[in-house]
Amino acid sequence: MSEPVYDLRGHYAGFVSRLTAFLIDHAIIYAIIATVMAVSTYLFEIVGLSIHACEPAYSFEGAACLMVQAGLGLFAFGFAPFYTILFWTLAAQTPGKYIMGLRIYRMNGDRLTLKRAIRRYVGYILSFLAFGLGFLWIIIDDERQGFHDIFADTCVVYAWDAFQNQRLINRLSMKLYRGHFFENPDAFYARGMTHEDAGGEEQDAS
Amino acid sequence: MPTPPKHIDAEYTIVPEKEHRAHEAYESLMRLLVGSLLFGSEELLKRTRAWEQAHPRSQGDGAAPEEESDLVLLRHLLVGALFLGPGMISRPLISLAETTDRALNLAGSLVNPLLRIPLLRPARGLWDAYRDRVNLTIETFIEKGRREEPYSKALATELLPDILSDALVGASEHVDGVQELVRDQVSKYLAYVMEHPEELEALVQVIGDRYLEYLKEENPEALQALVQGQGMSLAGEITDELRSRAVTADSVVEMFVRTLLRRPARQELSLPPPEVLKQARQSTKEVIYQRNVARKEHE
Repeated sequence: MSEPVYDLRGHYAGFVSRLTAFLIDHAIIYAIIATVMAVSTYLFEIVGLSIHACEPAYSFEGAACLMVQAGLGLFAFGFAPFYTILFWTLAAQTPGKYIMGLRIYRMNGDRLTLKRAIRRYVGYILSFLAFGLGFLWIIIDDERQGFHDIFADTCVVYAWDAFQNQRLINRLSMKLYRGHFFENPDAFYARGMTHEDAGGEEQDAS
Repeated sequence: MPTPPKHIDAEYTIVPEKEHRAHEAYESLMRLLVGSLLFGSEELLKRTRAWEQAHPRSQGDGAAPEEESDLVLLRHLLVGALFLGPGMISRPLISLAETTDRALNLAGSLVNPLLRIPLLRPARGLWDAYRDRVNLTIETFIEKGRREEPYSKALATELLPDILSDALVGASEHVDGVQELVRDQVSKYLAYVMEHPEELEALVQVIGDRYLEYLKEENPEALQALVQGQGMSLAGEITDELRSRAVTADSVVEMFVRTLLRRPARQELSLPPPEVLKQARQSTKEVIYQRNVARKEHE
């Protein structure tokens, strides 16, 4: 039997870690968008351009107001993909993923190119459009890949010495699967479980 | 009046002068001795006055014992001389000094006309130079004393308790009785503190405040580093906690969902391809190093 691996660094990252990273990223994105909107609205109001109501529509002020509104709308919609794709390409992780210790790689170990990152983001939208099933697929899939991962041939892994509360996992698995979980001890060692944690006696009994 | 020498500043400053002389061992030792003497005598005087006020002299104190031997009488004589002697000696000394001064003035008034004679002009120059030198020396001494006295006192006040406590601790280490006494007192105090934790908290608060005050005044860089370090380590701890909880939750959520969907338990968490694993297990520093090496080779 090979030497047991106790940390999960390099293993596929699970749904909760990825969801947390996603939420952090979107909190940052919305904070930036809100700040830019508020500041620009204030600045335009200083020069006498109220962008809440563009009237009269056929005047110079109205046209300028509509253009500003369009620009801000474009920024609001475009910033999230820009932010995400930029960080995926440059750093293989977004700030949220950095906080959660996650990294995105192609399945051949390469980092994402711009084209691949755009493709993954399109996969993101598809996953969302499929009632979020594409994201929930991470829970079910053996490689913990969502639709967007499969679409772009990428994976998300733990890039830190990840460890989990093994005792809690063991107890829960004993309750849910009545020892069935312990049929393959090698797999548990690969997951970072010690023989004692896996419940040596139960394993022998089963 | 002759001007003071250049190395003596007109104003006293508690910061020692930077000239090399100020740091000589002799001066340091003298400062410690003078300071100790001043500090000690002041403290002694304070305590004796406090004691005398607390214990006013009663009439019975001065009563002689019923039987006094010659030895006891001699002792009393010496003690009385110690108390009354200075007063008795100082009066004749003062009158002696006054007489000397008058005599010198008289001599001066007699000698001065003689010194005005052109033939004795060189002697007058010599006399003036001598008098100036003496005055200068006296002024230098006074100035030095004026400067050194508060500095020595400050030095002794600061250092003496530390020196004495270190010496006492060093000496008491070899005395079993003292050690037992210390142990006994410490255990008593610890028991007391266990019963009154609020006092310990207050003590820690006071000492912590003092330490922070010291760092703020004396070493602001250290305080900044400390705060930054604490902040960084706190942020690191929070991040680690968040990450590890999320990793545990990853497995827990999967277990529940698989049970709900009646899917078999995950036999193993399949590892990603070796290339991905290798990349993920490399530290960021290694990655940057390898990238730089590759860039250099490319160039």
